[in-house]
Amino acid sequence: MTDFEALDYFTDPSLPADPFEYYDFLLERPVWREPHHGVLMVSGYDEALAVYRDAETFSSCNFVGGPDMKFPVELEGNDISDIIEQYRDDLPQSDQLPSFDPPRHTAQRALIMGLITPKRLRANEAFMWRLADRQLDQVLPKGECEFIADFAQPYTLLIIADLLGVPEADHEALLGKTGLGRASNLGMGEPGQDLAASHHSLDPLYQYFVNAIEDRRREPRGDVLTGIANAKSPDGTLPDPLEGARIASNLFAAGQETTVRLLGAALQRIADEPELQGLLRDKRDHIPNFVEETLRAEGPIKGDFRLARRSTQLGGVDVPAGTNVMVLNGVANRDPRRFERPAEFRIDRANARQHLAFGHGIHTCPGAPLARSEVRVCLERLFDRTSKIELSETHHGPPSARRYDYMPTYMFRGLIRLQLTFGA
Amino acid sequence: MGSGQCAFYAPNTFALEEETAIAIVLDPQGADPEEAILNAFRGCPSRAISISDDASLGTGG
Repeated sequence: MTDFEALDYFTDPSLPADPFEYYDFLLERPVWREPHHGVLMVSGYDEALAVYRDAETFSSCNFVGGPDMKFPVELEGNDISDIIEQYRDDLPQSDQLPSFDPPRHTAQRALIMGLITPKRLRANEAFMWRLADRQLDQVLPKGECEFIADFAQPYTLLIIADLLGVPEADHEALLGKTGLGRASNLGMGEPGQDLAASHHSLDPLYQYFVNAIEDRRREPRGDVLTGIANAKSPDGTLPDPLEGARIASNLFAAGQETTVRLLGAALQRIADEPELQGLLRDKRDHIPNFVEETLRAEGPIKGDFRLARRSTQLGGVDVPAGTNVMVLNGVANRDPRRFERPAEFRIDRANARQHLAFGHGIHTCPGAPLARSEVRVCLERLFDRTSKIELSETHHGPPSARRYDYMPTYMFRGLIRLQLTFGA
Repeated sequence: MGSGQCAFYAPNTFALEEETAIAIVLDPQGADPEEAILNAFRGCPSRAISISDDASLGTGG
């Protein structure tokens, strides 16, 4: 039997492929300080909710700080609010919305939510259908594809581009700038190849958005980028265009790769379970709940960090101020106190939508409705245009012994590659 | 994207820049075990890392 206590969640190489036994071990101790880094692991569903709902006690300043996050000073005392405020600007991603606490968080969040209106989402969904078809025109004639790079990455990138107001005429250039959307581009440079030409990056997006924001200030277009461009700082002035470019780039970063992995998980299951695929093909109205159950069972974000601002208690465990807390969304989604027989994938699970894949509380993923539509539209068009979707046995092995390559990290759950074959 | 995965798995090769949260390369030759660098490469959500056979690395976003 595995000694799970001796196993380091953050570094153990066996966990990314199959974390579920370890998750069961965690669920026996819903709030537990793991011994390797001293991180307080919050795995219980109710306990996770309690953290996400209490942004006053649990700061988001360390959300990408990792298990070994260090402050320049010791975190001493029963209330470290002053230390957090003094040093939070030195922490990674300190200028990004997910790291903000109220009141700073409130205004920028309201700006984003005010721009992603139902009307804009409807127009964006119309684009999604067109885009899905355009991309399927490219991959279906080949009868097979590496779904992540050939479909999911360009699809999610261009959908966010459209949502923000990037005109379709610029889409090819955007794909070119990021290096995404080409089958040959799996991130591995050929030996001797020019590195600058081979690596993927969201970096060039910054410059594109700086230009776009300057452009929208001269000529407003009524799109999301115009809204970002004309959002004033608290002192009433227009911020540097780079500020707006950061907001736009962060929407890309947060919404793109996560949705890529969600699409990967959905297609993996559909391709691996012919019966389930048949049911979804026949009863399309089951797709939305299938997406929720996929989010519950295979959510792309394993968890999120918080920092205890003041000493408190959680699930009967003392939590001293300064405690590095990791809320494990993916584990809480398997809490048997909330989800009956959580290890089973149930397409008709009545409360699947209660999952924490998008987080909860003031930092809930603003792109959740977008992600849901992206998967639904992709599946609808794939079902319309194929008779069957299967896993390539050459790449993933026979049904009895599948092989998958998962992202080897403590933060993300998802396939690196997914090789599919299609029946016309 | 600034998820910090590369800086955690290969801390001598990558760091997160505070201001932009963009990962930067500390040592283009790679100053961590090959396994650790491969882990950073495969765990990057923005697929911003490239590895080439001569062990020189590049990164962005």
